[in-house]
Amino acid sequence: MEGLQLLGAGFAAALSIQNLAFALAGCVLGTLIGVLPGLGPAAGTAILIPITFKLDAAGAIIMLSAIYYGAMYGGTITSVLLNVPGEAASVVTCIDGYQMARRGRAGTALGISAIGSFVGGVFATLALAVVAPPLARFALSFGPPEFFCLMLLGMCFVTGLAGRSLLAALLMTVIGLLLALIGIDPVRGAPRFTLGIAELYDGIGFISVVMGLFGVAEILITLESPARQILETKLTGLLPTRAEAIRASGAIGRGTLVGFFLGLIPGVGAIIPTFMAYVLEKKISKTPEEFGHGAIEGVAAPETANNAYANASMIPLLVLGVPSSPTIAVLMGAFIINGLTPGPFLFKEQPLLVWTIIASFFIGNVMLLILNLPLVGLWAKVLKIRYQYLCVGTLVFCIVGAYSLKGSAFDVGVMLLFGVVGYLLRKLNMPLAPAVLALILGPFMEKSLRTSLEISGGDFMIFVTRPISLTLLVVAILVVVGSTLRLATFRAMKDAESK
Amino acid sequence: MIRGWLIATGLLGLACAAFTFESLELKLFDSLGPGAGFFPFWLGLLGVGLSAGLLWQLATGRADLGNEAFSFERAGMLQVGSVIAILTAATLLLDLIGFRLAILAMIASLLIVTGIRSAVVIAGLALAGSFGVYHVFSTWLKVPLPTNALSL
Repeated sequence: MEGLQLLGAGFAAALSIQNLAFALAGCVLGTLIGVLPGLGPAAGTAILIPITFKLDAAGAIIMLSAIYYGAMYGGTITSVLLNVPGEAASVVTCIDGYQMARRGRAGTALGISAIGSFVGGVFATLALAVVAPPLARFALSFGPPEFFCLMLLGMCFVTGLAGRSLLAALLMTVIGLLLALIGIDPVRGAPRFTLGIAELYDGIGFISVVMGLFGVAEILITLESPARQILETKLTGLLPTRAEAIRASGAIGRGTLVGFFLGLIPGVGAIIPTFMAYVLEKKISKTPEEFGHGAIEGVAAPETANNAYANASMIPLLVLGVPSSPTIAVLMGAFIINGLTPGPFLFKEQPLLVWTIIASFFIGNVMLLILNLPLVGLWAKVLKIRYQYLCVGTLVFCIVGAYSLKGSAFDVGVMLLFGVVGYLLRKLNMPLAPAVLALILGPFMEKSLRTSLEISGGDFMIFVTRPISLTLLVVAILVVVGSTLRLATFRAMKDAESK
Repeated sequence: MIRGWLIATGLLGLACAAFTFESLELKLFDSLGPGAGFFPFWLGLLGVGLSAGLLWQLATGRADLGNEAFSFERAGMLQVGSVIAILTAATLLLDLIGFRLAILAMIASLLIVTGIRSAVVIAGLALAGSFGVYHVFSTWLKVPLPTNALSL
């Protein structure tokens, strides 16, 4: 009940003209980012941070969050009309969405995606409002050892689920953590690894790195690939028929639950919930042979799971201060830029701000439904813009974004450097998400570790003598062991198949 | 693919070794507890160990890298290389000649390199992307962008 009361106060603030305008602007920009192939939500959110510099903290976070879930909505349009995912989470939607479009049912595919996304997003936000207050109260009892173990657990989830090689994911995590340590030591104030460069005293700008790894790198890859053809089809009949609505409703319900629960686990990423929701629908369907040939459940389930995941993944960030994906890490960066540290203390110290942001999620989902259903034709037209113009425009925004962080061309250079590094690592299929999450969590993790050891007088037993930290450590170990076994089993199966 | 991974892993391992070596210059422990070098020292060592393990996996064919081929097409690489060169030049020129002129030249060059041939389109987009964007960010959004000695 307490959560719902606070949510009411949040709604009152979120419904101000100013905050509504920020949410609307975020939804429009986010959908645009989602629609454009190649530019994902992480890069899109990072690039657009500078336009929020003059806003108050609530307005900035409302707008950036709207950009995030708007991008998750927008990715569907490209999947259906271009057979190319606008962002990674829409990969699965391509399978049946594009087939529906080829049969002249593109409007229905996009319509059911928008409805499913709305249901998934609203359910996850409602659950956030119910779950967050008790969880935040519980997290208030955490001390530095618990926070260190929590962040360690988050990283274990991320590395455990990032790609085929656990060693590569762990190595990328270590690299991210080491890069995070460049600059002034937060505990003693000594400069570290700065190579005498004054600009590095503040550390490597997280936002510049994300813009490089996910923005510039993505554009370089897009420039290498051939241009794609948009499917010319009429976007009519957005609403499904009665029979289709009945078939899709179950898929939407199940997709919501799959997306919500997987959104709570750091490191899962948006692809896994959409894939699991699709596989689940195919398994329980009476007509599995229709999947891959334009089954409406094959569009409804993954799109719903995608948005339920996007909204649910805000729970670990807001309640525990642990981002679960690179885009959420960018949002955490935006909180920090605005002088806020996400986590249980934010609920205690700035309750109105937190609940205004949560209320804005509901409003944003309604806005996206309105934007996506009648305006879907307009979004489809964006896809006809030549990719050269989009790439050049995005690069200009990247430069403005990186420069405006500290008013220095050094950050533009950092962005460019990480753009080239990201391009090469992506060509190699090396996991980038662990490095990004480690980069933002690194300073917090080091501080928690060192404060814990100061409390215990250098005794590492502090992490195993406290029940919560011990539990978190055990779970972290289980995650790593489980991931190792999973990869070993997968490899053994592959070897057996090849023999 | 394997060669690329070997080089990347080797470089990452070297970076970790450099961090470990540098952290020895800092205190691992002081009177209050762990010092500034404590966390990076152990992390760097862990990174060296991980890269050694990964190199061993790669060398013995135990690493699963997937089936995707690592491809560099000459034409695509030339375009990517040109774009990187233009972006580097624009970055270096930002403070020297100001945002508007640096970005004007950058956009025009990028459009030409990526195959746009219409002079009107190039000029229009370059002006909008440089002078237009500058106006929006500096005047409306109050985000300061660099100018040159002539306030351009």
